[in-house]
Amino acid sequence: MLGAELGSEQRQIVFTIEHCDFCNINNKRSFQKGDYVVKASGRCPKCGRDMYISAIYAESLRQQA
Amino acid sequence: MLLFQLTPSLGSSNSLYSLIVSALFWVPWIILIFWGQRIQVTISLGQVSRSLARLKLLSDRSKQVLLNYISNKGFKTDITRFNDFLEYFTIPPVSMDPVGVVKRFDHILTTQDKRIKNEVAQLFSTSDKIERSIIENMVGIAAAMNQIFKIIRHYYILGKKGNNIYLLAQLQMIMPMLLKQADALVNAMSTLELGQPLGDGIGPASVALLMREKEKRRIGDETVFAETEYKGRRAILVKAEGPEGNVGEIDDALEKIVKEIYPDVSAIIMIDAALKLEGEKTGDVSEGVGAAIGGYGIEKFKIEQLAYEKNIPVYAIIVKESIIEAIGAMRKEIAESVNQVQQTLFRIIEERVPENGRVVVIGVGNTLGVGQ
Repeated sequence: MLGAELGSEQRQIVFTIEHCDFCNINNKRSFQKGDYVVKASGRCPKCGRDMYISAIYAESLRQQA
Repeated sequence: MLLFQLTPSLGSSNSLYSLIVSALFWVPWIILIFWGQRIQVTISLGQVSRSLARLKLLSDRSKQVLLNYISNKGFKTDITRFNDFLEYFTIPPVSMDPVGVVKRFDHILTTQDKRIKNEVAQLFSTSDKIERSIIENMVGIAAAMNQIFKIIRHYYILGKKGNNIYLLAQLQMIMPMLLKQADALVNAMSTLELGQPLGDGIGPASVALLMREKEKRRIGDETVFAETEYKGRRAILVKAEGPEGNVGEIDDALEKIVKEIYPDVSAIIMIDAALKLEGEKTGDVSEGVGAAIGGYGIEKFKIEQLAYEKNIPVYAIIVKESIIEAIGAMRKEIAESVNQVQQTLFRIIEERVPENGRVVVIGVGNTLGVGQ
């Protein structure tokens, strides 16, 4: 609700980064409610082991473009 | 010189043209001499009044966002009691005799903290710890917005009543920055609603990643610690308990660790977000000495006192960000500084902590959206 009224510089999308320690790969997806840093999340597409959330951050639409 | 060039014909010619030119010059001059300040007051009043209206809008919106969140979750609340609660105040201790003022201030703030938590628990009955911490943070923002609006309105009315140009000019000067911060504060409520990490959470996030898969133990209220090893040194990792929106009781936890659990600590390293100076880059990492912790200064005092008594050096790693970035959703540049923070941390441990030595590493800040 509030986001709709922000300026273009302030409008932002929040992403969740899932990380696999073994393959050292990151998977970037949209943030979902309930996500938090270090939470186990999904399987590694390469080795199939559990991944965990290593970061949650916001990017402005300008950064996205 | 210019004045005479503009009105050369006043004495030498009676033409209509020269009279108009003279009038165009002298009339505004006279108006400004006699009513200049009044005009300035009117302009300032208009600008401050518009900013005040925006502040009122933001204050009302913060309440509305909170009430919407509560009603969406199905909680019932007493609106009159909620409005009364926003007027809640804390009287700081007297400092005429400064001996023991920190202990007295600590006692008052602990009472305030407990009172707010109890009130929130009564107003919005939820057993979910995360929900409760989110509501506590949102109530904090709504109360802060209410207070900011009332203080600015007070000075606006005072300036208007007395035609006090100096008071109004000060208000006019601080309003743009204040509105920016108020905007950021209200926008942060949507971040809180979703339980996303804040910019201020970079300290807990850096420590949480090191704590992963280690055995965690609770130490005091809303604070946890874990042990890890790095190149023959034992590191005690401390942070507020997440992913709730807590800052923990870092000072009390540190005191317990150093005095009761591990008396052989040879260094304390604190990781925190810090306000950047204009021109500095968001997410830049710096290293220094001293207790890196904000707030009223009570925790800082207690940590400094403990470190002094036990002769333990205190090192600090800070991540630069603006106040607006600290209270909003964590930005990419801040999140990506974690690697550099950890590299700096490992280097300090290697250089400053002897082998087989013990170091306490504290992640300072709001741990919303950051587990352990």
